[in-house]
Amino acid sequence: MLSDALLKKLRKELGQENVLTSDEELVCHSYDATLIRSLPDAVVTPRTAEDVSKVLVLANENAIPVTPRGSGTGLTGGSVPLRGGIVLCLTKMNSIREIAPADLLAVVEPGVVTGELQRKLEEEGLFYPPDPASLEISSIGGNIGNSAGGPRGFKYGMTKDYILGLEVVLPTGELVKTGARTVKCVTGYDLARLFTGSEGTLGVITSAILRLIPVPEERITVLASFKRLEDAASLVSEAVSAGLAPSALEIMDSVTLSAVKESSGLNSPEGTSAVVLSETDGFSEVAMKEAQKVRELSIKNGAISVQMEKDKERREKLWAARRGAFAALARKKPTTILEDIVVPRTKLVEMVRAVAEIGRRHQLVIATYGHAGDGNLHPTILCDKRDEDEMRRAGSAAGEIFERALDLGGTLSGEHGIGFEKARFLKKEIGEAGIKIMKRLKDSFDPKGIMNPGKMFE
Amino acid sequence: MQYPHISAHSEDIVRCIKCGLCKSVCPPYLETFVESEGARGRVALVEALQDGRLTLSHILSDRIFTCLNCKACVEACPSGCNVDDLVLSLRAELASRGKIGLIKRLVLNDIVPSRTKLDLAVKAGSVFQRFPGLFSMLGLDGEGGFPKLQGRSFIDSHRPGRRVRNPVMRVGFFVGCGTNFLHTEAGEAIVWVLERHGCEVIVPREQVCCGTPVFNSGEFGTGRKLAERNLEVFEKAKVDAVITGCGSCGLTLKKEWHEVLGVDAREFSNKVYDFSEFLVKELKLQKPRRSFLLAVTYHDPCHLARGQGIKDEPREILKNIPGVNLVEMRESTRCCGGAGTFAFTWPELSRKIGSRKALSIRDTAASMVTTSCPGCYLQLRRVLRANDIEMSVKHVAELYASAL
Ligand SMILES: Cc1cc2nc3c(=O)[nH]c(=O)nc-3n(C[C@H](O)[C@H](O)[C@H](O)COP(=O)(O)OP(=O)(O)OC[C@H]3O[C@@H](n4cnc5c(N)ncnc54)[C@H](O)[C@@H]3O)c2cc1C
Ligand code: SF4
Ligand code: SF4
Repeated sequence: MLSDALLKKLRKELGQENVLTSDEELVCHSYDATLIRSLPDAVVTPRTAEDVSKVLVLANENAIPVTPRGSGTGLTGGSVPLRGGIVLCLTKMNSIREIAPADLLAVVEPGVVTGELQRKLEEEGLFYPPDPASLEISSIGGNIGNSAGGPRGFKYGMTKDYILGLEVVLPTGELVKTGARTVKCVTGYDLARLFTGSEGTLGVITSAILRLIPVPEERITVLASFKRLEDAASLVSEAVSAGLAPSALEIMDSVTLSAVKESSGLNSPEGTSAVVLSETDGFSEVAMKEAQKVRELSIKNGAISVQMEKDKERREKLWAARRGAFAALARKKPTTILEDIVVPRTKLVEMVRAVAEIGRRHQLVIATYGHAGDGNLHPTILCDKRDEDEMRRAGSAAGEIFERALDLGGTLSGEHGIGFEKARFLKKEIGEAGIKIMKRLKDSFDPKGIMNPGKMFE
Repeated sequence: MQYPHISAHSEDIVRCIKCGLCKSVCPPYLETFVESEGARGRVALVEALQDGRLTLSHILSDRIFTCLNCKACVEACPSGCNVDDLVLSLRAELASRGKIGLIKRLVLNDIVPSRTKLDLAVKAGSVFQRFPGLFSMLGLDGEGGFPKLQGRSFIDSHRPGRRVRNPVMRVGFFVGCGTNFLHTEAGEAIVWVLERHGCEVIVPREQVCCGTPVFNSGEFGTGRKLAERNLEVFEKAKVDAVITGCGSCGLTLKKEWHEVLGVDAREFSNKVYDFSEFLVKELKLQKPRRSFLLAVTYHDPCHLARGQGIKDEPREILKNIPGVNLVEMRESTRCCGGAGTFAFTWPELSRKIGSRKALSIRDTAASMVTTSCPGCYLQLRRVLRANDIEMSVKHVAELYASAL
């Protein structure tokens, strides 16, 4: 699809080593963490915003699809080049340009790895809260592309709450700067917010100004084990109604636990069929008081054990176990279909029951875990892609789970985005008019439709 | 095309859900940020080869040989995919079709397996070393990067030691090529310490390479022959335990002869110990007479820490030396980039990975870095020098021996 002349030009502009076309490189950029696969025609690794601009101008002139890619850990096929063309891989643009403690902000390139940035910031007493479970490898660009969130979303919000400004290259090659180095800024449309979560369909983010907060003095992790999933869910709703604000409030069911236990060392007593993993933070006294409250409520709701950890390493172990949940489930069955529904917190118990019922009816094992504090669950269907019948049943089950979430007043995706996986369900949630206005927006940024075609809209 | 070595591990391919978490610890990926240089990319390549989307090309071979076999990905993978096995199986496919460079093949299959030829080659090597131009012509790293080969191997110069009266145990010392040719002092220290702890130490002269560099390059057949030869030699030596001071030899003797090469060596393997493991677990550490005023840091060799799960024992030996203050470095278990022949086959990548290690060592402000593997020892010296960091490097056994 890419002519030799065009490739030659790209190589001349960006350097040989930044334009890859061997079959091996193409294979390595044909996937993300879903089952969706599609080969690009070339992989381009820009080093500067100017490089990005050159690539987009050439692609736009020749109507060649461009799919931005960070670390390729997305869960919706977002960075898979469905229509071939160029994969624009931003991992080499990975410098932290500035950390400004007094202004509580950092300026970073899109390829910076989230966890790496967080460690550097902590050294300076600063805190960037968004914590997708993939943070050890996901990129800030990809986080912004999907507006990723994580356990801390309950208290601190998600990526979109930490973007002060962005530098974005449009398909026409223009460099747009939106937002500012200030916490307040209402000059014109809030384009930064629009680009956040736009899944690479509007332009390419080449730099971001991130809002930071000071590192809390203390963090306490509480692991409460329950005999029944309902008890765990009711702890979550009680904690929320009691006005507690833990930084995280996570739930894991028995299927998830058995997988996580195998690969981690997270220990809960015999007979546990659900746990709530939470964290309180802030000034020491406050964090402790809040942790005690969580503990009391856990016991009141029938917890069979409550473990409290202050020690950084041991806390980190518990959270690493939680972050590994998705991949650990892959030990049980080779194929995992991971969903990302959100329901109002009051409907959490109902949703959990519905998932279990759907699983039983389709004879499927479905693990449920997620950010219960936000009502955000990740029902994960365990299946085997080699088993056609099972895959068909998994497909219907996934559909029913979405329907149920919508019926309960919920939404299709809390943090993973739409990508390709959920494109066909989008209309159901936002309606015909919603789709129309979104498409019009897209057209005005990307008239030739080269940016990540096949995503978001059917 | 059929790929029997890969088919044997196809379950690992299925297991990989492409989550990408392994990339976060994969040293070559973290230097290049190119997917195909990372663990997940390698799994994808093996998978694509298996289902016919790729062929055994040069590029594929390169990508599969930039793996250090450091096993960090295996530890990080929550779904239990053995990336290391997949990488080795692809190397075996390449080797079985003669797709590994002729010179390398000759060295691996002919010279390394034979004690006498290897001795000769190394002797020749120490002569060549005075002619660096010749080395760069051979494509080896010219700028003083090639390790200083020692004129006489450890086994050649070793004289059976003092008679130990009423020995507590009769142990065999598996020397390994690194110690034998490049870091003989570590060998001497190990034997001396064992004797001081009441062991009668046997050093069978006919022992050969453990096979790590050979089967790690895909030559499983030769690897098997080496394993069998060593088994025979140590069988004859009639020892209660076999001790090694090299993380990779230890892993190979304990597990890989059996698990990778399919040689039935389990009975032998149960008798194999790393030097520090043996000292701490089977003998009683003696309190050294001398004391130092020394800040020391410790680098964990991949095949010792992840391969054999030995992290505490070497530290215990260090802490047992009066006056030694053990200061931990950042990421002590991260690969140093030596990885056996890797330092010579991919010098630039190896140097980059090593420099990261050198900086974490420097930041401890210790005056000595210790480790438990001759390969790491050499690489640490190279990269410290390359980064203008003056610090002495020693095998744990050397420091302990000098205090006893
Ligand atoms: C084990 C595991 C756990 C996960 N846990 C979570 C979780 O807890 N919460 C969560 O929210 N997500 C989670 N995810 C999903 C995923 O990690 C996140 O969506 C993450 O933000 C993706 O980052 P990435 O760098 O891998 O981006 P990619 O997957 O490469 O890209 C994601 C999207 O962003 C676009 N994009 C990437 N870079 C740019 C750029 N510079 N400019 C414009 N568009 C760009 C891409 O086109 C694509 O649409 C998880 C994934 C895995 C595998
Ligand atoms: S961590 Fe494991 S499952 Fe995830 S991509 Fe790597 S090998 Fe595959
Ligand atoms: S063994 Fe080490 S170098 Fe090889 S793929 Fe795994 S992490 Fe990367």
